[in-house]
Amino acid sequence: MQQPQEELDPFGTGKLPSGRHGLPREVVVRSQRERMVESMIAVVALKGYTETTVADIISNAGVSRATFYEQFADKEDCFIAAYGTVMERMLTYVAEGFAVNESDDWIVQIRGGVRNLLVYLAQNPVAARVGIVEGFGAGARARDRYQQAVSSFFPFLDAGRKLNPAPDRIPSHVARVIVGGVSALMFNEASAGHAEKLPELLPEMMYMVVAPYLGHDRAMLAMEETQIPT
Amino acid sequence: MTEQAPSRLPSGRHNLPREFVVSSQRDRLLDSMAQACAEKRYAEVSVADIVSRARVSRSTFYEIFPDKEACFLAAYDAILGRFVTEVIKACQDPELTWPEQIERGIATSLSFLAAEPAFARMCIVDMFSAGPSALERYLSAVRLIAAFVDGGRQVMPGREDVPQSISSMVVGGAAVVIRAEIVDERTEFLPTVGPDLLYSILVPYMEQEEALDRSERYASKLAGGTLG
Repeated sequence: MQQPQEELDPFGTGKLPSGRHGLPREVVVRSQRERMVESMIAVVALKGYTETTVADIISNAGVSRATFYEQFADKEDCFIAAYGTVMERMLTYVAEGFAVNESDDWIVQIRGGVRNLLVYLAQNPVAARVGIVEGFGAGARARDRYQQAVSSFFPFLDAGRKLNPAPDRIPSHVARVIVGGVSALMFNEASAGHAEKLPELLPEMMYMVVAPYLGHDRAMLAMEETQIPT
Repeated sequence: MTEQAPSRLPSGRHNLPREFVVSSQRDRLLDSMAQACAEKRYAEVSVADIVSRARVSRSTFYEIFPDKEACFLAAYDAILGRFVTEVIKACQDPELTWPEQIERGIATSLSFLAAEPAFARMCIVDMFSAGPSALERYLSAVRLIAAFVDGGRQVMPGREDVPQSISSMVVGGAAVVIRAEIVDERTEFLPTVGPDLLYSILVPYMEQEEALDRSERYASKLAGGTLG
């Protein structure tokens, strides 16, 4: 059995042994790519996207400049990979939280999903910095990736629409307003350096998610029933 | 005689006061910056681009602005100022109820952006890649609009308990919808998202049925072309 990676690898670089090791080339390439992506996440969280250089990434990841340019066109390309990785993690946390209570009550499911995301971001300020804050300053591709990530949360909202007796009357852009609005509030908190306070926003976010589908009264109830995660 | 004012002052000797010349050169630079940003990414826009479009010299540029970012921010302030002033003025018609003011504000914002695609791109899309000062300006405009929306808690009966942050979320979310339309090159069709935005902004502050009715009436006004 392997030890957890953190113990073998105190710097979290996940670096493979150097020199001759007989590992297949694709394993090496994948490992290098992951290290560069993880280094990008760590360095951007520390210095911000603008100040981050390719030199920072390769020295943190322990790869050569040539290796970097074999796998990424430029700094932006590597950042997009890092940003995508963080976005996928966020989506996974929402999906896991959505299912955790094994309930078929949509409000319980949504609360589980948003709670899990907020707790994850509070405990991983690096992910919050990269996924919520830095993506906005990193140019057109990151912006497009953000819009794509917004849409990937829509399936969690579909069930809410179906609970409305007249689902077709609820305007179609409502889902984008909800996800965009929740992410705007997360941005305000995380960019002020208060990622650890994100879980306190859970009740208000529940109101925001529920009101457009089920109206004010149900949204108030969903908010009042929500405990702030500790 | 042409109806249109010349975009450039007559060159050579003229009796125009220097202040006026500077202000006109400055305006042309601001305009050129917005136009350039509409055509390519802010990062790719160069001072050379801007001065050639504005037909001013490079040294004039640097007499007026220390760098490209300062020019962008000045252009941004000018247009954002005009945008916010126009929207707030449209909203504050005392003849209108609060939900009608919100509808008027949305309609005015969307028509403004649809009519000025260069400015729309600059104000809602490019500020994300133009540094923290531009982003701060964008966020303060969002806060101003959110504060107006938050007025719904006082004005509408039985809504004191709606959290204050809901106004930030609905306005921030509406901006995400607008940004998606601009990025998809649907800027000229922005007014068509109005009814969806109206519903999303009103629903926390009134009965759901009434918000739906208002959104649907807005949509049929748009379809009938009876909206300015």
